[in-house]
Amino acid sequence: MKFSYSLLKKMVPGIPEKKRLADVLSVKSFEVEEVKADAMEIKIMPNRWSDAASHWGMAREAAAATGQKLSFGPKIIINQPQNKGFLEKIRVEDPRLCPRYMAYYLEIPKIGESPVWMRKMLQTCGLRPVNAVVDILNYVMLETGQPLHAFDASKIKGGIRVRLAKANETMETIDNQRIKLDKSVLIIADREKPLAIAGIKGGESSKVGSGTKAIIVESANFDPVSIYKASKTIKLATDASQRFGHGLSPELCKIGVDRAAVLLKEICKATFLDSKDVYPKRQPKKILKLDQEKLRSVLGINIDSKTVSSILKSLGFRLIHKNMVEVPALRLDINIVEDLIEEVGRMYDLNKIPGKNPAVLLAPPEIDDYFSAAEKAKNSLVEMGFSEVRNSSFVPGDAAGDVEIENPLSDDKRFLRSNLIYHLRGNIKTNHRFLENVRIFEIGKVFLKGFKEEYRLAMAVGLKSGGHVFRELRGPAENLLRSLGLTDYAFVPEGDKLRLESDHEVLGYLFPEPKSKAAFLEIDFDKARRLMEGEREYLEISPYPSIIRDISFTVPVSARMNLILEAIADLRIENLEDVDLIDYLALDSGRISLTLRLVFQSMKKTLSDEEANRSTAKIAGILASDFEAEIR
Amino acid sequence: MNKDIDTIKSEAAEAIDRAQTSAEVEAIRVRYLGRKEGLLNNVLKSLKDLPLEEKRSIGPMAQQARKEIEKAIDFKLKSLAEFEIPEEDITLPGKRSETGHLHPLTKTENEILKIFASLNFSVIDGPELETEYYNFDVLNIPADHPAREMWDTFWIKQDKKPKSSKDHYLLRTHTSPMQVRYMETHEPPFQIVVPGRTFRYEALDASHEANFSQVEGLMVGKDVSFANFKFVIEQFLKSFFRGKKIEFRFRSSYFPFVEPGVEVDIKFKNSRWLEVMGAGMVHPRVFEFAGYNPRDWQGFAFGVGIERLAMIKYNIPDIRMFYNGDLRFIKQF
Repeated sequence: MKFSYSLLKKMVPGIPEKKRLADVLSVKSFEVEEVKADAMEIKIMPNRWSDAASHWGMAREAAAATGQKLSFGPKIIINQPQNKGFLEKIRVEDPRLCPRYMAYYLEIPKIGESPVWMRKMLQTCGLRPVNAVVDILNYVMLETGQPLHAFDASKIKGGIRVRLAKANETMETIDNQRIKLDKSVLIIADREKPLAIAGIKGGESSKVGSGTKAIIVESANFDPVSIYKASKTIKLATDASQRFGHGLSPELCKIGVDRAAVLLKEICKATFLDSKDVYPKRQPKKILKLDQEKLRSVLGINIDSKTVSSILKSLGFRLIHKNMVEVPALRLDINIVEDLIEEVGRMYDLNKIPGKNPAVLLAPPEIDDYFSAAEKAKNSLVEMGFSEVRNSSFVPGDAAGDVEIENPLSDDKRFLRSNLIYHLRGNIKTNHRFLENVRIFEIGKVFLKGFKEEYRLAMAVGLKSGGHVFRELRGPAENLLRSLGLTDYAFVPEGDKLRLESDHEVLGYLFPEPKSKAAFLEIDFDKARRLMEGEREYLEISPYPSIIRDISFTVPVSARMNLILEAIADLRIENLEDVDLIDYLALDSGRISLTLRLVFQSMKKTLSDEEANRSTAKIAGILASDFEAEIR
Repeated sequence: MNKDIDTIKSEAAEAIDRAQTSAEVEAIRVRYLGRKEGLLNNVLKSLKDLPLEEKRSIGPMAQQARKEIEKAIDFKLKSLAEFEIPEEDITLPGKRSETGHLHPLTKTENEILKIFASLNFSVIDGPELETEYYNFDVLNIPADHPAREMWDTFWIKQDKKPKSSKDHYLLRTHTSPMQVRYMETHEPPFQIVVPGRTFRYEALDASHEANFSQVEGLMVGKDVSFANFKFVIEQFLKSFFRGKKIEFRFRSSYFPFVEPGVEVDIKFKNSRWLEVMGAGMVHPRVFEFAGYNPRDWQGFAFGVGIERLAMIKYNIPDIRMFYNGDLRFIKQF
């Protein structure tokens, strides 16, 4: 919200220059976002519109924050003319939606332009000058925070009523928009038609113009929720709707309208003839007990009661007796003792409170399982040359998303991801523009039907030059599973995918995708970490040397490696420690050339070459007989 | 005998001078200084047959000659090395081994969690898909109040109209819902941090992402105070930005679930103030929603953006870089 520095300075002559004031306000009150010529852009927090969204309120803050005196206070008119017959009866149908409705009736000899100083101030604050009456009302809003509206008295037929609009009722605004109303929108009407949308915008039919001889100035208070919702319903937000939407005090109505009456008399030579005030239930006084001990306990510092009192007084609080404090009527945000503590703390300056080491019972912190498992997995993957990516949680509609966003940012972000692969595929493609080999992984949440979410781990290998990308993924994938402590798992072929199983549960799938020269693995990380084993135990290491035999052979393309390995395992060869595929080559002949490395090792003795040869021959035999292998 | 030593000395000097390669020089070393058949050694060996007098005068001379020849050989070898090309080119660049890299946000998050764990904070996880109840209501953020607009929200499409805010789903706009979730099942005193992904309905630009990450902090006890918050957060920030001189500024601010509310700014030498977190003392209403008696407990809460800290620490200009999967970016860290 824009403020005029010169007006603040008029209200508190002692305030420092702009930059310095901006710094003090930023620390103790509100963030000053920009200072430009006479204008200060200040961010009013949503709970402070009731008192601080005005120059008067901001001046009070500035005075309190800088220790200066506030010399401005709007004049209250005590003996205003009342019920003199110029105003007809005002009917407020539901006082909960309109706690107070004030109307002042003034005759105006001539509506000219407002004075230059006023127009300048309006422009500084981002408002366009119109005519003296409208400008005065806007000026008073900026000065006191009370939105005001003027009707041409001659255009109102019968008394003013504050009621909900009827279904399909419409109104033309002062800026000639036709607005469709409904039964939830509060309006100001006369006997015949809507005159204004309550707290939002005035209507064309009763607009003040050059021919206007008498005006009715409305100063009202409306229920914030009703105005907030109405503004959304009719899609119209104004200065007034913003202010009412945040909630204002009905006590502000008279302050604002009295100030307007004074200025109308001064500037337009208006005559104040009549007024009405519908205010069935006065805003109750709020009195809080300021507990000095609580203040010390919350802030962690002892601030002497004299300082506390002077801070509260400077903000307009009244100290009744002992620790009882009366809250200013406009401070709708102050309701509990903690609110008072905040007032004292911020004006004392939070930066002056020294930090204090808290007393804590020593106990090892609890770390959620997910974080330790994820850290383990990530470190293991990084060691194997995989880099971590973090992708968006959003995917387009056609990309396998189960959960849809009600208000998506755009069509390609309409769903929440139900797998991590979709974006990894994109990552491979992007990175292939710069890199030959891409090895990436991600651990993150996916979202499933029924508002469910789970952590997944996905890894991908993309080799631009092709190659055996599937094996390049499976090796590290198995390393990862082992490093996570998943000892008992199996890859089971299922179509063109491998299903990863452990403890009779499906953990995920591993599959090649020749089109993108990539292979992917995605597992349910929540399930996987539940199957992880804790600490490992030492296994005895053989003191005897191992013997290695490589066996090379060709098989038809239809041969499947998992069956070959199973057949070798079924031979139950003693001391066969490991079988590893070390070479794989598709031959022009249509066959496949393979080399298996056999490692023999005994815990009891040094094995002889003959033993190794015998076992190798046995394996060669089964390869030839069961898999049409030709040993080379 | 003297003459022999002088001759050996000058011959050796000449030979060293003529030598072209280090191999030749090594041969000279063997020829003159060799333990078995070296010429100088032979002279020394013959000493044992000489009278004591001569031994006394020739011994030191021979030692002197050895030192001089060794020095000449070493010097020659050094000067040859400058010109000689060894068989193996040891100036070849190293073969690049492919290394993996953690995402900078993971590094940052790990760093944050490590510091808080060392300050005795537990590390807790929470859901990304939240309900309106936990994301707003229990945090004292009323429905139909402009305060809610501080959190632009992605709502989830639901087939059935939600019966209450407890089954009205959204993407959490902050990690703060975990405050009440955790308090509902735990008794104070405790101190926790909750890292995780959060979402805001915001147009993307250099400093806004629709998904980003936060760490929530919550400490509750009998008399946990604002002064305690200052201590903890200054310790954390000093440790996170260690090696840099850092100034702090605590500004009055407003979040409905804290009272008083603050924002924390930091400043390095020659920099401007940088906003790093929102925080405050837990609002009594939040304790009530969690089933605590606000008279019994006090505490502080804070929320810090992980991207924000990473951008400051690593000098990263654009938040979108974290989420585009470009390895040229990730591999820098």
